[in-house]
Amino acid sequence: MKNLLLTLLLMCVLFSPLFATGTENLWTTGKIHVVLGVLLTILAGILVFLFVLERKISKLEKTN
Amino acid sequence: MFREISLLIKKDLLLEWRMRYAIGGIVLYVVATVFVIYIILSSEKATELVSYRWWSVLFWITMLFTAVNAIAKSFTQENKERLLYYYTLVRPQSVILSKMLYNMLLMLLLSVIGMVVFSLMLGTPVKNYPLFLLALLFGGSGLSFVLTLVSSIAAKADGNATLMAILSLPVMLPLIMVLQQFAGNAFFINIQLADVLKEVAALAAFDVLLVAMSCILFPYLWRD
Amino acid sequence: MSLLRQLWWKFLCIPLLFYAFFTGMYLPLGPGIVRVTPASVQRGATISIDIQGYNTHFKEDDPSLNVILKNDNNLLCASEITIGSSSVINAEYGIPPDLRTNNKKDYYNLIIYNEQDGTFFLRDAFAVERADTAKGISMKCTTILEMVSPEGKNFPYREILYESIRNLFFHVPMWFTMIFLMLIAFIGSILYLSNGKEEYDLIASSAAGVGVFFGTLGILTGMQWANFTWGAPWVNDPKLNGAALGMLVYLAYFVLRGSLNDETKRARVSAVYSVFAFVIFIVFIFVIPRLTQSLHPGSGGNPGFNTYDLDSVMRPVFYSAVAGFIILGCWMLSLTVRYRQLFKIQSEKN
Repeated sequence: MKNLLLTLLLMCVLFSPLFATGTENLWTTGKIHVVLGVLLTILAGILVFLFVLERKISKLEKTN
Repeated sequence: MFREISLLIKKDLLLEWRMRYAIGGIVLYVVATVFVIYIILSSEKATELVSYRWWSVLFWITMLFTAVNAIAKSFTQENKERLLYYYTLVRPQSVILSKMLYNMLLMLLLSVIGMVVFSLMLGTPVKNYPLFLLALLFGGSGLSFVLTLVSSIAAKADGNATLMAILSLPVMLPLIMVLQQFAGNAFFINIQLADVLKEVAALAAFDVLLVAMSCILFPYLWRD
Repeated sequence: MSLLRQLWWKFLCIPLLFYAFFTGMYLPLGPGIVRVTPASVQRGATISIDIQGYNTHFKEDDPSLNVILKNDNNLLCASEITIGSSSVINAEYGIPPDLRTNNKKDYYNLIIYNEQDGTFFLRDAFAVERADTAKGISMKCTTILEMVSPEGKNFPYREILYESIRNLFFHVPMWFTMIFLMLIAFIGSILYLSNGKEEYDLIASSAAGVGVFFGTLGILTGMQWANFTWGAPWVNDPKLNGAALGMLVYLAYFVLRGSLNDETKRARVSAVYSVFAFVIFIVFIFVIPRLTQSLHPGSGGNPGFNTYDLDSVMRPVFYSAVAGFIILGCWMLSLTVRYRQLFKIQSEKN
């Protein structure tokens, strides 16, 4: 639970620039959602990598 | 070295002669494929029905899969003990070079047969025959060079056809792209050899690269 | 191998990625013109056009503000400018009947200058058609404008791309990282073939695995970006084909590894394939694009970027993103290699 909150907080900090730039029509004409999508994809990819590695290591620890 | 290569090629030719049904099978494969295309196009001349681009797509796809099927067996037709015996007698470079040359001859024969069968059954948009034959020469040799090395790799994994296809198709892609662009010139009467010198040079350089890499890499494959 | 365990180089990626992310997202886009309504008029008429700007700073009573229509033959100044808001202005033009042209329809570039935003323009923004009745006020002027950059740092404003130009810092490094990791796989394979140490095979195959991971991310992010800029998730383009080829080659590499059971044989055969495939991959991505056209920047002869595509503000951000992601990739590679070494020791023990 604590970790989840920390992650959320970290994500808010990380994505704060998205809400800080530009003018009022950023989201419609500015296509910033494309950038957001790309960033989320990369983040999700790295998280999946970590998750898979984590599970492999736990399995290794169990057989030990 | 040259003597070794020529002896090995002679040996391959002799083997092929003894197993005549194998080469017959490959020729039949080409004819049957073209016949299927002919039937699917509902028995009309392809040149009347589809543009020359599609003709060239069909032609190169047919050649590609014929090549994969024809060359896949080059390291699996002889048993392991006999291959081991060759390895004690000759240099590895001679083995791979002789196989490459032999496969190149086979591929040239097959591509000429393919072209003839295509022209007979589907018609042909080719206007400049020397240029197209040049494309077949470079293309056929390039494809056979790539496939020879890949078939020696696939043979190590008790090569099945799927493995052969997935290993070779991506590495053949650059060749096919240049080739298809180059051979497309043969559909126009007014293009001379001098206009396509850049592509000829690219294809020739690619073939040389393939030969060099095969000679360097093959010795690592044969030790066992 | 000891380099894998050292920590210092891994931490390098943190400041690099932080810098790339924060400047990449915080710096605003430069000023630009989104659209002009109406977009055409007949010659000899007086027309009032609305101009929608982007990230502009229009102010009331700004003596430096200048809104002109210009093409190779003519230059027209606005007779009256009304400020709607910081990003909307209205300009009134009297189009003279005696323009020096014989075309039925002429296109004009709209150029705006003010002190804070510098000079910015919209190419072929406005069309003037020939009319049969030639009457109107002649309002020619002879102001010649130099290109002035806007105040402060910002990324260039490009039509179609808009804010998604920032994706350059996040999508493109995926490919650089993939190629770098495949280079590691290539070198590892060569080293394995030359001295037969098992750990080089481990590094080579792990690098190929992490490379495929980054390639997948590159394809996914590229598809999103392409869908918004080129209108389709997949277009026929040499760079895209090269990426797909790289992925196919390394997926085939893993199928080959999977179908070999003996360990040394697997290592040797897959090393041979990896060397062979990498050389062809390099030929494909660096030579073939020179023979064809590409939608990506820097194509038609040059696989890199040129100065126009990557201006001086973007360059440091882009390069630090590339370096950061490459180091991150190597970090991930080191974790994978260490895990697989442990796994091997473990399975030998049991």
